[in-house]
Amino acid sequence: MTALVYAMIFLPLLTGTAIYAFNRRAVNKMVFVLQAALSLIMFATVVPSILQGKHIEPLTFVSGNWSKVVGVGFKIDALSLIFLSMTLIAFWYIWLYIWPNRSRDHKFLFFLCVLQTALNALFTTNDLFAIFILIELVTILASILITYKKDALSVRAGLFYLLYNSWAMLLYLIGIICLYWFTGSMNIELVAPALSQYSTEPVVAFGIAAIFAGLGIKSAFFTLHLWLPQAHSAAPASISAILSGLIVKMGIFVILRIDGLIAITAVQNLLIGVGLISGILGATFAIFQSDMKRILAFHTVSQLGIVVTGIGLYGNKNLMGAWMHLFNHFTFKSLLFLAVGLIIMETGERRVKYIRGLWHWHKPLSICLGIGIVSIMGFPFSSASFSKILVKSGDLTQVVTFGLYAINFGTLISFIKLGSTLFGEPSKALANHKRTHNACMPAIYFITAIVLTTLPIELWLSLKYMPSLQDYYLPKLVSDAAAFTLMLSISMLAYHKVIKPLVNKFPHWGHKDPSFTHAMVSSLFFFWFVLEYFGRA
Amino acid sequence: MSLNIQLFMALIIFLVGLFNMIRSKNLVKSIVSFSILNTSVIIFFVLLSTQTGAAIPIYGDPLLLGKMVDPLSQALMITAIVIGAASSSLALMMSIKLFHYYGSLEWQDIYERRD
Repeated sequence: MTALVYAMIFLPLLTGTAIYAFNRRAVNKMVFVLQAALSLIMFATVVPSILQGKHIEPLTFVSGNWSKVVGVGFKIDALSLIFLSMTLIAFWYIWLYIWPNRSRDHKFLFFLCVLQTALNALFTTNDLFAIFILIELVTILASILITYKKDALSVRAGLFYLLYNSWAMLLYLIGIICLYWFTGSMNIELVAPALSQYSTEPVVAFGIAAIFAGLGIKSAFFTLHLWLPQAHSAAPASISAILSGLIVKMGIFVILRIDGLIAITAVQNLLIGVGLISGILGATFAIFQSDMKRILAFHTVSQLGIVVTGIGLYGNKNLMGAWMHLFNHFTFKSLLFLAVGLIIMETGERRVKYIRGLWHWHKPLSICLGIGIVSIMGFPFSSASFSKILVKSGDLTQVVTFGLYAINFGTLISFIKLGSTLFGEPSKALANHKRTHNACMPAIYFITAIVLTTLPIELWLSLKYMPSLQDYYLPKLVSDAAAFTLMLSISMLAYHKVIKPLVNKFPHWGHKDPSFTHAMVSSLFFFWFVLEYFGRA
Repeated sequence: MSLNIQLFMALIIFLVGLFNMIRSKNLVKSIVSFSILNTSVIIFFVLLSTQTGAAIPIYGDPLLLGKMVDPLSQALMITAIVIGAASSSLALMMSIKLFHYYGSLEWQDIYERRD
């Protein structure tokens, strides 16, 4: 396990340095060797223990024989393994997707290698300050990659992303300073017990509120999400895929990593509230968008809302559902971003109403896009349907149940809108363009295969580690299928009769990017709200 | 000057930075006020760990020195300074790029032009 950590962190860094130093196309091919080596190491360490049916015991260690108080701690548990495998998959499809166009661009490959290092280190570390440094490093690298096209729109979005997220990390820094002052250590192992015990102390409550606000900006909770639609729509397709699939989830990772944090009742209630609001309003904003990438970007906010609600509900099944949905969202959102990015790359058209008849234009691509849309809608027996019924399990209050159904409803409506691009006669935008980027298709096939294989693997794993689910899945699935059919027909009707005329009446609603001042004020307001809430609780 | 007054001054620097970051209409001013914010947090943390009459932690045998200043917070803040410098320099570089595209450094001008 220790070898896994060091390999995951140092091999990408060495490869990146070699690529940057040599600047030869033959050397650039090392990225595939690196990926193969990392996958092999990952398989060799993880799969045997899972096959033997063992629980993955959390392993903690401190690098360089320092004491726990001052050294940088590492921790490998199920959570880090999930995120590490997500990073591995993400970099497989990124390399496949960018290889035809950017195989000679050694700088781009170097930045991606360092990004992989930073992500892997983040997902294995157990130290509050190391988390700060690594998230800040990921922010800097991501803003370089967002602005990589160097056009006016992407530089604007990149600057907004960089400044706003640096401000978020400053809030996080203030928070961890408060915790350090109280506990005398940055190691989560030593800080976490104090959190749940002294959560009512003013310093600790202030620290938790600041950490929460900072991570909220990183994970794009609603009203703190203002950087997200700009950054996702301006970035190159492969970068939007990893932004939406992985980088946005860093905040949720840290919330889960700080053990004592989600055990506090006030934090749980806050997570439920924030999750439902993000879910519903994110989906509502998505309905009104005309840009395909912006629809997907707002859906990131909405789907993360489901995950956050699941974490806040805190039952065993809810948590497992949240983790499953985290992974599922990563797979299908990456697929959707890559597929839509390919359409935009071929045609230069981003507006959804000018794209029709994809099926006649490019059959394999439309099959892959269709699989992505079906998965995100949560069709019965797709991977998202399992994670959603797990999130919905337990005794929920009526508000939570209603909220979760409302999120599903919004998702259905906006993906009916995106799904309508598949049917009909090819529109002018498609008919005028020949396909030239078929070399990017392997990446899309790869992630489609991942989407399809996720379901059996997740089912098998969830039944293995929680056998009681066997009696739970089947009746729930039947009722869920019935509810889904009903909701799909209602949302079809609603889309054509109500939503479409409404969107045509207000074509620019929700399109304007808010100013930086708005973003700052909303983050301060959120911080004040959390602080006030902790003060009351 | 007592520690409380120093901490209070760090808080004032923080508020100045925050106020400017919220209301500034200019990109460069936003970046500068971000740097001010960063500095104030660093000053705050370093001040929290100061002790009057304590030994410098980098020199001498720790067992003989007795009371020491907490070295960890200083080490951490050096890293935070480096990171702050990196992000503000990157942001300044992007603002140069934006000036070439839009001919202006005002947030409003940059966000109202659609292209």
